[in-house]
Amino acid sequence: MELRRFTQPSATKPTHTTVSNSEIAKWNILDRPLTRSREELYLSTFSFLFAEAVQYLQTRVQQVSELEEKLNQLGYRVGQRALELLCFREKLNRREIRLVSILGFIRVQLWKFLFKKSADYLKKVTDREDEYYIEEEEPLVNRYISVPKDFGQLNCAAFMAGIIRGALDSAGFTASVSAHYIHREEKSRLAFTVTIFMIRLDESVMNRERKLAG
Amino acid sequence: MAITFVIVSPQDQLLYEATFPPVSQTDETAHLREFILFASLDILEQVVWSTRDFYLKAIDRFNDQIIYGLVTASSVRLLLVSDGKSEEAVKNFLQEAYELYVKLALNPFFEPCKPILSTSFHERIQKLGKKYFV
Repeated sequence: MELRRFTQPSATKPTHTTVSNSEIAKWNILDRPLTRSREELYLSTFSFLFAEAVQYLQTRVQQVSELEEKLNQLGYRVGQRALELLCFREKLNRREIRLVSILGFIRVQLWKFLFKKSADYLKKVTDREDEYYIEEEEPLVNRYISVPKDFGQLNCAAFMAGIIRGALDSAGFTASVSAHYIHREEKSRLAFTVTIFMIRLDESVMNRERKLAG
Repeated sequence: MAITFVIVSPQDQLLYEATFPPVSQTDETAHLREFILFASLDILEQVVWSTRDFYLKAIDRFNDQIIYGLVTASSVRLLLVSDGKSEEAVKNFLQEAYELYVKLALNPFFEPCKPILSTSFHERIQKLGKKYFV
């Protein structure tokens, strides 16, 4: 019985030799170390799983907005756990208590942990104090997703928006996060589409920020 | 006197509680320790936003009882009340309990903000308590 079937076969342990149930039972999650060598997941494995998740949720919703909401909720659980694990494991030994630093943490550390690259841009919405956005030209989760025409503006990166929301929320920065397609035109290249993750922070967070800023 | 350790969710729900040595019927101070732990939550709230450390040192005291706190990256609070145990032991205990909590939280079936009923978590916390406080 293999427990981690989809990891890189770098260290070829003979995991498929028979392991009795009692041995698995002994291998408690609380006994396993948190620091481990970086294990990677095949992109195709993840893509299949994600596509299944989208299809499954699709059968349980009426509208596109509901589907995005469900994906968001799914990501929320990932975000919560990723934040907890990352802050503990990366030997940072620091929590983030300021808004700009937690956003930077998400853009760089969290993104690198999940997608092996930092997000393209983190920007503040002009003349809005409580709105920021993270821009990503090609979100990993959308690589093999093509949205049918009758699904309107569905962006499956709502899952990633959920991850951001989960990380922010559990760090004490309540926010709503949504994913949108934006068309961009630049002189040097053809018109292209990017995804932006719109982050709108709760008023309580902004009040606390003002206090901390003194 | 005994030591009480609690885990409190960001919404102030009690998730887990343990006493060392295990609580007996005759121990009349158990509810007092519980009370002073919860009374320190307000002070904790201020300390949490003034430092970036996980471990918050001694945050409050009540007579000879000292309350120590640790806050995780996702704002879960680990509190411990003791009378004059060495701070080093308390700090190590909280750090190790934190590690156990992170491992527990990684379980996809674990619901944050629900009481922790895992028996293996309980066993390990008891073991930690024996290691540091007995």
